[in-house]
Amino acid sequence: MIRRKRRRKSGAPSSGAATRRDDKGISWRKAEVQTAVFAILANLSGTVASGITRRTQLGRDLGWDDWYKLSIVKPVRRQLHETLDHRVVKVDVKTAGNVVDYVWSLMEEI
Amino acid sequence: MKALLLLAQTWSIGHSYSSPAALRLPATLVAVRAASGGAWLSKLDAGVLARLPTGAGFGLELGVRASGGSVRSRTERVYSAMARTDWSFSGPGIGMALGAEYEADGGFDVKKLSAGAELTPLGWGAAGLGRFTHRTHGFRWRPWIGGAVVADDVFRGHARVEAVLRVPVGALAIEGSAEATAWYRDGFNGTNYATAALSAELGGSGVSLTLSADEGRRPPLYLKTSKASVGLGLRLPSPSRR
Repeated sequence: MIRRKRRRKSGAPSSGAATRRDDKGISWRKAEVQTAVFAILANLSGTVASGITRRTQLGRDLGWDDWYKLSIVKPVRRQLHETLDHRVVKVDVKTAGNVVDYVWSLMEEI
Repeated sequence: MKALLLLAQTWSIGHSYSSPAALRLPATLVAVRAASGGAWLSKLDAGVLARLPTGAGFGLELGVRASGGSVRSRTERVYSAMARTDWSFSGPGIGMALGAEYEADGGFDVKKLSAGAELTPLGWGAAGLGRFTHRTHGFRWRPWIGGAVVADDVFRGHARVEAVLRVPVGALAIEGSAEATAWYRDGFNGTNYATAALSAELGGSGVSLTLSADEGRRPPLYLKTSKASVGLGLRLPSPSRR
């Protein structure tokens, strides 16, 4: 199960914010996070991002083993400025959509 | 035991628990009878791996495996159990597994407990390292290097390479899997062991028609073995659903 790591700091109830901030304070929309994550997955798979959907499975569809999944940690930290928990990536993340949702959950609601 | 079953996030059944490729090698139970008659003999190679959540940023894997059956002598049979955890270092792109393993021969006359570590590169851009070279077919491999201290104070170093080749032929998913390990032991000559299987999965069920072979010497007794067999194999979850 992928859990949200960071809560809205204002104390107000979450409104499913359309924009969130990464650890460097850069604002992201979820669609932008998805585009960036798909580009990372495509680059690591030697394929094109247009061939990746939220339902693309890292194991069955992209042919990655559990250890290779950890290759996403470094580019996500570099481009999206979020630090992924290795255990969550290795065990819980199974689809491209899982990666997007996990990175999004780490970002701070504005 | 019930708590373990409830806690286990993932169960895998395959040939062995030693690596992802070993779990892709099907567990096999083969019945053998000489063409000239005589008694039926059996050959079993199976491993089960369970991943348990710890909630502490690292996972725990528990595994058991058996290589037995009446086609093997008591000393040729191997029973093992292990506990393993792992970390990864995304900076240099290295994964590390730490574990302890208990190994015994078929008569439990030789029992060995060992503790060790092994390293693998996560990706490093090498073709097929950790991912298939093509989406629907192709080749995937992963190397490991490690060492263990065995209870009788012997240091045992090892290098292992695992490889999977998958080739869809019509509706059939043909897959070849192999795992080869070389050991170096303090005060002994080096030794090695390889196991391989060619399997055709039946309709995504995890059940496959399997040709398997093993060759070499492996712990705990390092007895020479050389066997090939054809039979039904089982892998759960099915590789086509992973």
